[in-house]
Amino acid sequence: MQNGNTPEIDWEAVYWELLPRLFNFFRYRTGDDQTAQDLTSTTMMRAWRSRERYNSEIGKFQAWVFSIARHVAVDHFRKSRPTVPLDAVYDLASDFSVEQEVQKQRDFARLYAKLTQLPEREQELIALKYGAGMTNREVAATTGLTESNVGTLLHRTIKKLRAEWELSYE
Amino acid sequence: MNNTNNESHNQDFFDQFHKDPSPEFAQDLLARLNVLDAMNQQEKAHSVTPKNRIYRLGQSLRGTPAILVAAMMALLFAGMILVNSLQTQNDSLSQIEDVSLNNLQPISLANVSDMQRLRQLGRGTLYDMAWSPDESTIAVASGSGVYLHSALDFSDLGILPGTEGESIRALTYSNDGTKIAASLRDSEEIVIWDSATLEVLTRIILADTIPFDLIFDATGENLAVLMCFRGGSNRSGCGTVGALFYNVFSGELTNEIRADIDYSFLTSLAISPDWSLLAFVGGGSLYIWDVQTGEQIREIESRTVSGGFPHTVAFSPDSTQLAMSVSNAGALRIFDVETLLNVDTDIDLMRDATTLEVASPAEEGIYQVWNIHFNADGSRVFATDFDGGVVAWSLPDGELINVVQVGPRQTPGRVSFLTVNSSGTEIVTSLNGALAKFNVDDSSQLALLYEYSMNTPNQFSFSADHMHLVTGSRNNWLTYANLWDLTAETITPQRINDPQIDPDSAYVTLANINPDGTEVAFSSVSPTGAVQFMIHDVATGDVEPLPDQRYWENRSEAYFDTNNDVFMLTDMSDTEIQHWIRNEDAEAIRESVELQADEGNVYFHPTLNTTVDITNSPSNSIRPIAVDPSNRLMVATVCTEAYRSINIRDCSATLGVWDRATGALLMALPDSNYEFDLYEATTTMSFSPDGNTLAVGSCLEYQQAEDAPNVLCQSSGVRLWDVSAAYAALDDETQTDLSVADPFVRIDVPTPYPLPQVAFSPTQTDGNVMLAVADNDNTTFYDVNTVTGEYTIVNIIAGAEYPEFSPDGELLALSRAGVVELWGVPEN
Repeated sequence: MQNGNTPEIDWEAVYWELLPRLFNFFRYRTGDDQTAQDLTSTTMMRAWRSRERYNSEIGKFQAWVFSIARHVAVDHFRKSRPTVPLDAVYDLASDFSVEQEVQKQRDFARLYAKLTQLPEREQELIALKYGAGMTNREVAATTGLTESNVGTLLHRTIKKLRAEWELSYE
Repeated sequence: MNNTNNESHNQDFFDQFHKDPSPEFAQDLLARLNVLDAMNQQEKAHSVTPKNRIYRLGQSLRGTPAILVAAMMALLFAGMILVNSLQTQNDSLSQIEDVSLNNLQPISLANVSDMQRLRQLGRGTLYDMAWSPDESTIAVASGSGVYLHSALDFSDLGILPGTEGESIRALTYSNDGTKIAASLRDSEEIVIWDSATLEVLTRIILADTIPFDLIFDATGENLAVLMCFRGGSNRSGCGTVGALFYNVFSGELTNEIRADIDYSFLTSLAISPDWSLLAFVGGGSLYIWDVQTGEQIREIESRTVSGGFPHTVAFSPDSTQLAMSVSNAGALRIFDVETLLNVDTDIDLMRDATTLEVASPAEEGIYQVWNIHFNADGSRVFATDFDGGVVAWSLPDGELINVVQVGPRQTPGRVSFLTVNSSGTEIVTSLNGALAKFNVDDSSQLALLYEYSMNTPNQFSFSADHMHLVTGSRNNWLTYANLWDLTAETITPQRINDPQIDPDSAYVTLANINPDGTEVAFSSVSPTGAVQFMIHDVATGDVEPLPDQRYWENRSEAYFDTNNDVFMLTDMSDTEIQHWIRNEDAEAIRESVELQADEGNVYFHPTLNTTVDITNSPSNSIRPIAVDPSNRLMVATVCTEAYRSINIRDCSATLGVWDRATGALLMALPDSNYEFDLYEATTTMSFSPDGNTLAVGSCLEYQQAEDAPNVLCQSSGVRLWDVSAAYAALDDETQTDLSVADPFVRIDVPTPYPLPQVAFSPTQTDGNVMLAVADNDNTTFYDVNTVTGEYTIVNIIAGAEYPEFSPDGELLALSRAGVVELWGVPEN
């Protein structure tokens, strides 16, 4: 409940701000839009009912949501082990039927295939940084790593990822 | 390139992959959240525990496409139009027990929103237990609350207030017994009560953590919460482990230790009673942390210190010794803490440890030790082995006192929880959900309670009058099934196939009660794998083995039809359906029926465009089955081709509708259905009351696993087929039609696992049928028009799974957190 000194939070605005970040976090984690939607729903449903705890601390609420999201992702992998082999990803990409989306989807499938070859921790860092749009400081707060460690790990990972990406296009 | 440019460049690179969620999805989810809000407001207004909430959507939503329902509800709730129709149940336990099961209306589309929770059977999955320091009380943490029992005979003392319906994962008493603390999973909080007045002293909100254990300090003024901080990079779900320390009275966080190491395979953590040290076992090493400094002070590799794989740790009451179980060596090693911290080489530690043999390593199957307990003065230490035993030694001499055999050896299950009285002369154990108290010195059993469970029942079988119910497990092998006599004033379960009574009965597979409520058919699997079909007499409890039945198979299932005749399936063997009837002398006579295809065992599957041989698979199996209300049809999943590995037991399966009397194939449903693990992912089936509609809950889309030679389920759902052509084929063999239409309804569920469970209500309203579908979280009720295929949601029961209606349609059984719930609509 609101207290007298706290401005009213527009939770619907928070929802619209969080939704694409969560969705893209899960896309980077799972490589699949439908799964990302499911996991986004699960996370939102869990977080939403307890959001009033964070009435005066919207930043903490968002951090908490992504903590839940990380756990939901872990749960998902534990239950389904949905690791898609590299070849399968290309097969999936070639099956997408919406014409104008094909190239974009293929690129994302290629990216995801490369992401799945990274260690789990680096995959998650990428998803938090570029899927969820977090700053290094926020990533650090969410993962428990130091900010400098996050920066270093991301720098190394992306450098390697981009080199491979560009190589695969040559 | 400087850092800023780098960042920007990287951001640009990833931006090209960014995608917004679809507007439909976004709106739908927002609508659901608004519904959730409305529900929460109602719950607060009615002070009902969230676990017991029920959504009532009313008939106003009928006829509306399901996908629009959530959005419609949001609008309605926003305007508070439906607030009054969105009722909740004030269903505390005391009220539930007052509702009679005798005067109920059949549950139908007309009254489904009036359903109430009438009874709770059992006390849920057992997660932790503690003996009060004054030795008067055993407190049990379960999936449905904290139950207090007399330590003398386990008689009921009550439920800790505020825990009803809550899943409790850990509890503890303070040393002086004046306080009790419990960890509530759903509300993510720790509650501390005054154990005399049962008043709440403190509530501590946790978030993003999984408490393993709670420990008061010596003064009782502080509480340590040992926990796993969620979200690690490993897949165990535990990122870092550590402890949070709170002041009991203010709830203030006074200290925090996060062991910022990726403790893969964490198996145990403990704090010394003087609160100076934390010990973790994970990834094959023992780690010791200083509580005051928050620093790790030792990491000891297992092979040097233990001669085996360390599994569980515990400190002695005076904090001077550390006991560690060593799995592969079947031993407990006790280290002097001072030595452990100061000796230079790990080899010296090994030499100096006291080794207590839990069991001979040569004895098959006895390796892991899950619990270590000291009595109050440290003169006795206890460990559970992996074979139903608790071993007790005296200290410091390390002499074996006794092995209390809680369950028979070579049977599944272990003593999952253990608590010890202060003198160490009595223990309370939990094995397969049974709470038992023993005298340590002579192994005599002092008390026994069957009310708890080891997991959530997911298979129900009612007698026709709904007054007897058998609960068991469809997906997992259990050691026992429960028989509930619902006519009794106090409902306690009778165990079917209890290995603690009959050591020759290791497992029970699917158990079903006959319509008369007089017999339960089940198959009992011995420790060596022999299957024996059995009939349990409900009135006497006698068990009759069916003659000449002893299979060396992995699974078998027994069912009754509406004539009280029993028929059975053996899995992994052949296509025989055994049909047993009783003659005039009440002897069971076997009449076998062979499943057939149109040309012997072979038929051509039109959709698969291939010839299917129903017997050619090395892991041939027929399961599960459903029989139509007239007893004429049987539907089964037939494994037609095992692939990759028979050990993993995957197979490509097809659904068939068969003539129950002759075994002739009548319809092959146009679907290839992979069952990636027959034991874990069985489909469920249900016939509509008129028999013309078949519902099948199953995986719908698959993908190949990367790291295993099997397929995994990507999405699940329910499909409905019109099978009326099978009746025509019964009457006229020439009409056998293998190319029936596609399913006319497909309902997706949110998560692939567990597979959806389906049940038709036996009450049909004109052309509309009511279908209950349970996913991972809820049971949803649909109004399905069997002509148009349109369906709408008419009710949701949150947090409950595995629906089954009684044959008279007056009761609905659901389960959650190890508890069986009975729902119905009372007259008036």
